[in-house]
Amino acid sequence: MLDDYLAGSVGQLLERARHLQGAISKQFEPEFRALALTCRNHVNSLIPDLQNLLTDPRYKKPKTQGIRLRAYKLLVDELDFIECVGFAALDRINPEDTLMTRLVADIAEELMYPLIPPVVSCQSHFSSYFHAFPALNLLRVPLKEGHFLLHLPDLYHELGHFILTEQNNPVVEPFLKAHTSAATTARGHMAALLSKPTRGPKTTQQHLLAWTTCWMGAWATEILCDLFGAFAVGPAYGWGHLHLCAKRGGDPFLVETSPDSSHPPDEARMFVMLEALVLLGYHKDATAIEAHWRDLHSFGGYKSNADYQLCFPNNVLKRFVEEAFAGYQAMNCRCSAPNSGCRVHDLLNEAWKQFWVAPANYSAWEQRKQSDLFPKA
Amino acid sequence: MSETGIYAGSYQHVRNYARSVDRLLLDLNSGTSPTEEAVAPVVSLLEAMQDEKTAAPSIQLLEIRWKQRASIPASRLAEIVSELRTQQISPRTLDDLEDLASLLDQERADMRLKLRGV
Repeated sequence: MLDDYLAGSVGQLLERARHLQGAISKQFEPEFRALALTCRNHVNSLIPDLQNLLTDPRYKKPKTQGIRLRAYKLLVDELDFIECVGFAALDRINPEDTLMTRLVADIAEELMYPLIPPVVSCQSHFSSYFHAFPALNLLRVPLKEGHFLLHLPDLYHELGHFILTEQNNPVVEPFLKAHTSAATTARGHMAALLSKPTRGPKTTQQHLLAWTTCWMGAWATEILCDLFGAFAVGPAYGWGHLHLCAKRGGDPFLVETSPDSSHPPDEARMFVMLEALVLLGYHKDATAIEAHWRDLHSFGGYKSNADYQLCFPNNVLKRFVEEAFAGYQAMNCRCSAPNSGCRVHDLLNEAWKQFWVAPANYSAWEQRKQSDLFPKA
Repeated sequence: MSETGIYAGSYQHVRNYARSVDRLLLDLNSGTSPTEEAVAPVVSLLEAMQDEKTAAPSIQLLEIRWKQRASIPASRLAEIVSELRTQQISPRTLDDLEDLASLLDQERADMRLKLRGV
């Protein structure tokens, strides 16, 4: 059955790959050429693999049919991914994509970012918000994000994701080592809890195992990226997180019990951001953000809970801050400082000052600042 | 604050591991003697799993999940590495590698669903 099925389906996929190549056979602006080349090369690398599914004699053995099916699914996924993300970004480039791509390049220059800045595509889906695709050096943001300043600090967080997926690059190694070291500390903390003889019912043990998995997966990464953002853009990052949580967040102390949790609780994220701001000398800003953060808790009726305290002790979180700060500095990235003279950094921080000084007038102020965000070349 | 940003990077790692393990299994299950090029990435992955202190978090995560799923004792990793190095591969090692391949395939598929925002 599999022979016949693949003969038909793989033939169709090969034709689809050819269609994709045809769709990007045109001229692109310089910022987008690397993405076009990556997409073209990626599709070209998939074509022989697809053909192998039909011709490799090893796939004729009965014992290899499971492997063959897995290989087929993987190739379908890869073609889907490159079409839905990479080619989709190239197919719809508009002036906003170009402006946002140049803005991220300006940010990268300001903070002495060690990698080639990603291309930005303003087409996030509803659930995606800001979304990094390191394999394509591509970042998706919501459609109209470039017209507003208050969430743009999240761009700095996303730049952290590209660093954490970099390989064989000595310049970013200090930050990768910080990631490993801090995550291993968290794993050690969970292992100590698991080894305690009085750890309670079996469900608690299952939760501890799930949380260990989360720490080694998304939680450590997200916290490192939050710290990258806080070190890079300063108070604006903390305010941006508060803003996001006020708009879209739930209980900031809620510790998910699924091993697939994608983010740590917002309280833990805010804790490390505030610690980072204090390290940078932003004591007053950290105090102000924390006061507003506690107010939000109060309005929502949110309180700390036993799971949160078990899973996110301050000493573990502080270790993340220490490791990340050392790693950030060792990459020679610029640390946020008041009135740094960096256009985007200063504008995003000024935006939050204006927001709180005259909230009702903020929107008009923000619109007047569009030309500062995107100066004409 | 990426909603799903983490999966972009992890996905690449898991995909690469999945490809490496399946490439080796394809040789082993088809009676082909695997080349050093096919063995080395899998040995490298298994060796990294053995060192919990220095392994990248994504590898530590994989090791945790594999052990939970297949009840693999810590000592088994060294045995599998030794068999791969000497190309004296037992049926038990083939089963364990197949289990790892299935886990990687499942992880990859789960991550892909999250990338789509489902």
